[in-house]
Amino acid sequence: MIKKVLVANRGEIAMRIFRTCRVMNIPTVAIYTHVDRGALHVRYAEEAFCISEDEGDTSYLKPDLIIGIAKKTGAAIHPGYGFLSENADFARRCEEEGVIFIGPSADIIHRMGIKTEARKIMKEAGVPVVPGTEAPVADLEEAKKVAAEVGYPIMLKALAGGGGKGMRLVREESEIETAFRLSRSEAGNSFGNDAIYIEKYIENPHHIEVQVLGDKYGNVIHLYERECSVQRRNQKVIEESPSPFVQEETRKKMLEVAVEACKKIHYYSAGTLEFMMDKDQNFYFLEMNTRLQVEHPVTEATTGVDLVRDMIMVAAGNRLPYKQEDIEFRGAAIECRIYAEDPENNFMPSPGVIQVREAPEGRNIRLDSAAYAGFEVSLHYDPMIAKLCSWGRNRESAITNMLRALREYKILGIKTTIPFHIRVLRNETFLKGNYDTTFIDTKFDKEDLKRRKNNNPTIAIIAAALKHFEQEKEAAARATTVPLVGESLWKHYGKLQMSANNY
Amino acid sequence: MAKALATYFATVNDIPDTEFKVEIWEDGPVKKISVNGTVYEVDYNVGGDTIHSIILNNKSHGVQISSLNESTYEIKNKGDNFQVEIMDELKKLRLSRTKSKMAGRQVITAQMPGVIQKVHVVPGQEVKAGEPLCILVAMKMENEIHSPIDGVVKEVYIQPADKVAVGDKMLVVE
Repeated sequence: MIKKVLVANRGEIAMRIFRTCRVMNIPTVAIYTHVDRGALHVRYAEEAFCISEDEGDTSYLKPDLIIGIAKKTGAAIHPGYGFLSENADFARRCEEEGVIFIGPSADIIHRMGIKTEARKIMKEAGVPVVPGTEAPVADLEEAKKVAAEVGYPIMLKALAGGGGKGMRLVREESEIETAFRLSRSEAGNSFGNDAIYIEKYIENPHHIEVQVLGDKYGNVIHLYERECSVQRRNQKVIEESPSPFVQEETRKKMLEVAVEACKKIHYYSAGTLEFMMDKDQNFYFLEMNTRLQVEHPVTEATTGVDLVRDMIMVAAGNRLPYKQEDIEFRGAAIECRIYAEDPENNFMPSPGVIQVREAPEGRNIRLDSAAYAGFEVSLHYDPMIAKLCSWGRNRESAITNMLRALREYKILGIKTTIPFHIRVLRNETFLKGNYDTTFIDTKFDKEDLKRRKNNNPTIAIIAAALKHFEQEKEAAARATTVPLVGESLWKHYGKLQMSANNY
Repeated sequence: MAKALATYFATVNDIPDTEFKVEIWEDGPVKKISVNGTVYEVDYNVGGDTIHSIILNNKSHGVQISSLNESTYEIKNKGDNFQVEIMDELKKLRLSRTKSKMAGRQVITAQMPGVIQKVHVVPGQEVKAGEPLCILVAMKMENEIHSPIDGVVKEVYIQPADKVAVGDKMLVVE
């Protein structure tokens, strides 16, 4: 039984999990850092613990402290996403200390955390992976042979790689000799290890993922797919379900493969298999996220499932409450991630105090957020401040719903990506539904953000002038009223005189 | 005509070299205002903190106004953004004097709070427009700050590990 839940996280995801706990009548425990004292999740929970050592300590990565609080309060731990959510050591410590970790087993988190290992496991479980070698190629001759087998274009990658170093795209055989030599020396210089392996290069890939849900008794179901190809800086900004690109036959195959693989590895809790898909509907396993994902509301909107509830139930040792045939997929849903960033200025972060917040209301809208007017968006944490999700009987209706909600959504004081989302949702390529991960860079006119629909500034000038006029009137009224208690009248009139002289 | 209650000169950030003369003739719930001589009757209502309702010839505008500083306002109306600076005659006069003195001088201020990671330039160094001057880290993102003009670095107020707030002077390029 789970009698209490501690969320080892902050922001909207802490609120998301607490909300379900309240529905389930489970008391909650919040942790917070010094700068998050005023955050919404702190006041929503029944108990709250500060985990900062001093005022400058902004870290949520405190496994020992968090496990200690969980033991003291008798709570199970939900890690949310990010922070400790995919930290196998943390999950293992929970297991050892007798604290329920609301997620998959530490062993699975560990194995899926190593990319080549995850690839191997999935391949063995029958999931297609990007063709290539798992072990490094010995020399140029072997590289040529492998390249010919998987087919050009190929990608040379450093085994010890990261940050794009040693990575090289090879489009045809004539280029491989130079590329191989350069990659080797670059890898050697950067990592002290010049081992190179080969992977097929997927051109203009779609990023599509499958949501799975399993229990500890071998039952696994899928909750359909999410299309996540609208990305900037390799980060998702808009997700939708169903994918407008995937064909029915491919979808069926993909979902089946995902469920079978999870059954084979005895996966339980919520999880996501990420795939790359090429223009011919070939899909390849990319990685598995062993946690609740940011974009899970899209799936909840189309299936009616409460993923957090099911994660808690499964962690407590219950069976999944539904079979695959109980899951009914309805309509279409979209999520827009609202970041505190300036889309007109290359998505530069825009932390600061939210002065005004008017949230969208009405039919078929879901808003997950932890922001309020007066809240300071801190520069220490992720700039995502909210997720807006819309549902419709079909994709068009979900999009038009989202557009009207975005127009109602008003945040002043900081810049947000709201205007960016409005432009994307009006973009022709997006509307057609045939967009891949290169969409923002190739099909989206960034300059368009700076252009106005209506260039007549009259209303704006009138508004600004009136605001200025009102402020001057207020200032004048302040200057002539009797001072507050405590200040001498002589001083007050002295000041008045001084300011009068300035005019 | 009677004397206006207030006379302002408005400029819009991306409509250069254009000045709009705004005169406020009548105050009250419905105000009489002229912009470059055209008179408007404006029904102005404040609901909430900074979301304003303006009705002009029965066309309704839900306008968001935020103050960027004491005389500049950001106006959002139907998804469009305008930055409007309002000046009275006195300020306009003062500005025209300082402007001629400071021509060509670019003060680079921090656009967001953060920490300086690296400073690429030293005083006296020549820089080209677009050349990186320093790196400002905010929300775990590195942001390169570029020189807006071709010129010479006159002042460097910052050094690595410095914390800066919005509007803090970082460098001067002339």
